Amino acid sequence: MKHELEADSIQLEFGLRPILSDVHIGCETGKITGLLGRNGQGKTCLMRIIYGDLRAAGSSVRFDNRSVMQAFKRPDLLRYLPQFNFIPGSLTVKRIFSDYRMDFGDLEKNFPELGAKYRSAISDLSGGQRRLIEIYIIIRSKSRFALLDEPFSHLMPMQIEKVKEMLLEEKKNKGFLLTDHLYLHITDIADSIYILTDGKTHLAKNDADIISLGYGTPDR
Amino acid sequence: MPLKFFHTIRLLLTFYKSFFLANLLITGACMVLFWEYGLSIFKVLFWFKLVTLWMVFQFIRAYKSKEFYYYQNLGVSKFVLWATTLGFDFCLFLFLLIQVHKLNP
Repeated sequence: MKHELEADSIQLEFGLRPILSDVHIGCETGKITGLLGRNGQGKTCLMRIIYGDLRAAGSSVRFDNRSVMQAFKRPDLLRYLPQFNFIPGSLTVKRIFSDYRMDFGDLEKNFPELGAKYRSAISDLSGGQRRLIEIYIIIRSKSRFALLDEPFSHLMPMQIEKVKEMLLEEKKNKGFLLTDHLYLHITDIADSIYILTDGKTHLAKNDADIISLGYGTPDR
Repeated sequence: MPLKFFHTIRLLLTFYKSFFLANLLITGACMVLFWEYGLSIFKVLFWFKLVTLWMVFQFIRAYKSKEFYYYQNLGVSKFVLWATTLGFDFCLFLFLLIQVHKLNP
């Protein structure tokens, strides 16, 4: 069964500076939606508003046409990967997988180098390994949708390819909305792409739209 | 349902652990002062404890705010984290002061 996530009527201002004013973004299970935009355009704010973590002057966030204002209370509907490390450093990898009720074997199969880290505290892992585990639990744990803020930024190329494979595989079960400045990886796997510019979202139909909306470069 | 309850309690304990020691030291100091000065100092200790709880709240909010996403992604909101852990800590403080009062000759 297909499920939909929609967000619109979002009004966000910081002081007198309008950040988001005319946003419409849609996402559905079985698809990957990309969100691109220059620094400071409000991509993270938009994700946090959808997650219900940031209050906006106006917003409408709907799951299957039902309004959900605090989606963070519903991990069965939505999980969020922030752009920074969010797992408490004292927790072991074993404990994290237990909290998210996930099987470590699958991670080990995809990333054998993490096999020996099962009993390690997450703070003892390298920055890349730590990020990989965070990305993995948000992509793989049960929920209808996942918001991923800069999932590729701290990974090495080989890991990025594995994460892209995981996203393509997991999209059978959920819908993804992701943003990252390594945008070629997004255009590579996304089914649709929105560009956020001047507080408005624009649905890009092709690479030329991404360039004309002031984000991509012609030489790729 | 019991499994979910157990998981939530475990998450709350993990969060509480991040400031438990500081709060225990403050409660311990209050117990010593209460033993020495009795009921006459209760009002001061009561407000002292509330102020220190507020300071801990501000400190954790400033320095560990990123970790809230871990709990939120598991369905435990910031409000639930704070209300249960600070509520429990304050009740523990009152309980221990009552015990000191009972034991004090």
